[in-house]
Amino acid sequence: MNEHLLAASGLTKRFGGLTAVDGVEFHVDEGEIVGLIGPNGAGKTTVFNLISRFLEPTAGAITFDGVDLLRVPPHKVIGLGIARTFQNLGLFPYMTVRDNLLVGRHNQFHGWILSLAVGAGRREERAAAAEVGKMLAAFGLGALGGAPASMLPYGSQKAVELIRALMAKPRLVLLDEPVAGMNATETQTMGQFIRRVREERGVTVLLVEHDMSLVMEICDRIVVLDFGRKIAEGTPHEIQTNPRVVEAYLGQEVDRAQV
Amino acid sequence: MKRLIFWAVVIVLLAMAPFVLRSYNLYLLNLAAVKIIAAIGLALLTGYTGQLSIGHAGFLAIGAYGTALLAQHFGLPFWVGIPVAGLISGLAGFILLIPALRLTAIYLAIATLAFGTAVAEALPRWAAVTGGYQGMRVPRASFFGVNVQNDVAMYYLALAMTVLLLLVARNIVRSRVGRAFVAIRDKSMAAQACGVSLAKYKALAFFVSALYAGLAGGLYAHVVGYISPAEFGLAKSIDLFIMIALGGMASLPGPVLGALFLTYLPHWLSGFRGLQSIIYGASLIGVVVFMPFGIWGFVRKWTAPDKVQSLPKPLRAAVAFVRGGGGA
Amino acid sequence: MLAQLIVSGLAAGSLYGIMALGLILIYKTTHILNFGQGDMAMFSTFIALLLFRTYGVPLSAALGGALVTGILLGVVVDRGLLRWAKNAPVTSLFIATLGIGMILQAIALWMGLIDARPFPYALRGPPLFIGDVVLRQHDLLVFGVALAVSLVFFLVFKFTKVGIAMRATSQNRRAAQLMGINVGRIGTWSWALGLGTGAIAGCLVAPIVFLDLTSMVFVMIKAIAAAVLGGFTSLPGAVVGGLLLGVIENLFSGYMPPAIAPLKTTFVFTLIILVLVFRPHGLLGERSVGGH
Repeated sequence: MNEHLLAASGLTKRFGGLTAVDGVEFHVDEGEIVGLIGPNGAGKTTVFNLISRFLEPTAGAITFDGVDLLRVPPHKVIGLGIARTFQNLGLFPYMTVRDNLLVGRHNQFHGWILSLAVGAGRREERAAAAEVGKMLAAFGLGALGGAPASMLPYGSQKAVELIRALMAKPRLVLLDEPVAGMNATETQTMGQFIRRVREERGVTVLLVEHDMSLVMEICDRIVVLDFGRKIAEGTPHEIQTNPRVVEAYLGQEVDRAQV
Repeated sequence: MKRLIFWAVVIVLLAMAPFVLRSYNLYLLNLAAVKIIAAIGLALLTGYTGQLSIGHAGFLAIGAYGTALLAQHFGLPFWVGIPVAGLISGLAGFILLIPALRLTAIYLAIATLAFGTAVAEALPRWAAVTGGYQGMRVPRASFFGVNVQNDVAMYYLALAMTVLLLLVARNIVRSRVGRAFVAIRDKSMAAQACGVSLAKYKALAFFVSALYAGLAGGLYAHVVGYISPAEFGLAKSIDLFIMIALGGMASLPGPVLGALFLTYLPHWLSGFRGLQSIIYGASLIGVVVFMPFGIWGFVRKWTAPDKVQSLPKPLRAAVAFVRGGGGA
Repeated sequence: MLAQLIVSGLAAGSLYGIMALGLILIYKTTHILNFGQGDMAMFSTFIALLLFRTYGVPLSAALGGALVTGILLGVVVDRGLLRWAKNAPVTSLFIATLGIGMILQAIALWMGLIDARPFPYALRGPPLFIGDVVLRQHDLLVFGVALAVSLVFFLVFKFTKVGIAMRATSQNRRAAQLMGINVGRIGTWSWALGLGTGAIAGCLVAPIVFLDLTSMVFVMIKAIAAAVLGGFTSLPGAVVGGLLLGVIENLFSGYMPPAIAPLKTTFVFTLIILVLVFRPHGLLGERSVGGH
């Protein structure tokens, strides 16, 4: 059991009468790219929010590298090595790109308020800024450091948010719809980006995504949710040919057509 | 380097003010310093961290009465009394933390309003200590036996405190603490995901903000020499809010400009009897209409360096935006 | 004693409730907290006083004049001023409403509202006795008007085109715009109705506390507190919050020893904070969707 980097068992979340996540069991191993997919309302983002500790599960357990995640408050999750991005962009819009990335590195700063107040910690600040510059350059966004995050094109904002997640040197990143709203080229770029994250930095990836071509292309393994339950799990090829998955998605198409 | 020289010149010029200005003008400057310090404190809380407060006069009162009472009962000199009273005020800031952890926006505003009202109602009731509605005289400030209760000495005290507290605020804002404040304001969930503890940094913001207001109150007590409850009512809290909103609240020059504006405008208008509040009200509206991001936002927008012109177009727009927004 | 305190509390609470209705209406559709509401209500009420005392207009017509002034004021404030400041953040617009309030105070002062002026009661017959509860006719009027105003709000919101558009705008401005609702015009309607309601509150408060430049500001603060207690986005919440606030306040000052009784505002506010800590969106407020 302990060899899994992230493991959820019996994970359940009810909101009033609605069961958003129902006894879900899955794991992510070190170095994998795992996709979490399912029709709208399947409970994918809820699973992310449970892992990030924004929501308290009704039942079940989540462990990360053997540590019981449920004992950790939301702001300490990143300290264990789990960083994330948000579906509707989690960038701080009025901050510059550089400052956004520095927030991503928040818990690696050491100076505390009194020493900061008298101007200590400037060296630390400079070192961090240099690191941010390197990181931006590495991903081809070097020129954008001083621009306010909200002025960037949407695709770049998504990329910056992913880079921010990497600033804390995490072992696992959770990506909530990294290519939603992107065109084909941008999606392609982001796909390569996610691969590089794993290959160059050894970061494990768990992602929620609706773009099936991307998911099938980059994921090693896929977990499928429908109405809060896990209905399938396997390699992209297995998932594509799984009749239950096809049914779940088709059912949704029909629903959509009726709306 | 250039900047350093610029600021050195500014401070030297300010330090020479007592040689050219009359006592009354120094007194006005001292009052401006009180407002600047309090406004910076409020800007850190409201502008940077996004926590509304319309009860900050309560902290001013704690600082002012604290300083006066410490001098009266314990004989503490002003240079001990003001910091100690400021610290007490800072700790009182934690009172607002409990609602602030649960409430946002207008709901938090009402909680802070409640705090301000409680202080304003309690002060006159506690007449044995505070002198009731009549108020109390603040013991004269002395420095190792030398009486320094005069406008010139107070001016140097005010100047030193303002410069020091501005520097401290600048250091905080440019550190991870300042970024955590803005992160909480802009997107609290993302802030947490980045490792920012909401409880810790909100506590810090309330503490620092109340500390600044308390220090401002302590300075005020010595500048005016006489304090009464009426000066610490809702109107004062609203005034502070107006200062940061007019100046540009997510910046440090903003509250300074706002505080100067609110010190000198009524002073200049005192000549226009009757028209005073009309002009005052109209200028509030005028600033809002023509400078939606405050005076500082306006200044930044129109003083963008020529360099900006030579940048590629999208970046130019970006830079213009940063300047227009007053920056965070 | 208890019954009497409750009845008087309900009367005061009805006034807070009426005032709060106007505030919330404006807040819901424009997201501006109108901190000039007190001054605007004072101004409309003062017009009624001028019409009645100086120009000898019959009281009922003078009161109607206040209502019309309030409505016109709403149109002027929205069309004449706030329309220009479309790009300003709402915190700045809040300052603009304070500025408008200052100007109205200055105009009222210039027109002769120098010190507290008595304001005529619309109903001034002998009080009614129900058991040992004394009920002034003015209280009855207050109850009646509060009921009528609430009813009008209810009917407008439920059945009229403007009311439904207001509801849509307050729920989702963008979507309302896409549905073809003229959001700007809805804003004007809200300001007109909101300040009209403020004028009504003013005319009912003024006989009790006299009319001076700032007497309505205190009522407004209480109304904001009441609105927050009720949930700030909920119109029924405003009325419920107002009534509760009035009763609690009255009971506190009635039963507490004289040394503590004047701290009633502190007490009421502290109570509201406690309520909010357990119900962060007030008693009847809508909980926003999403996590923390």
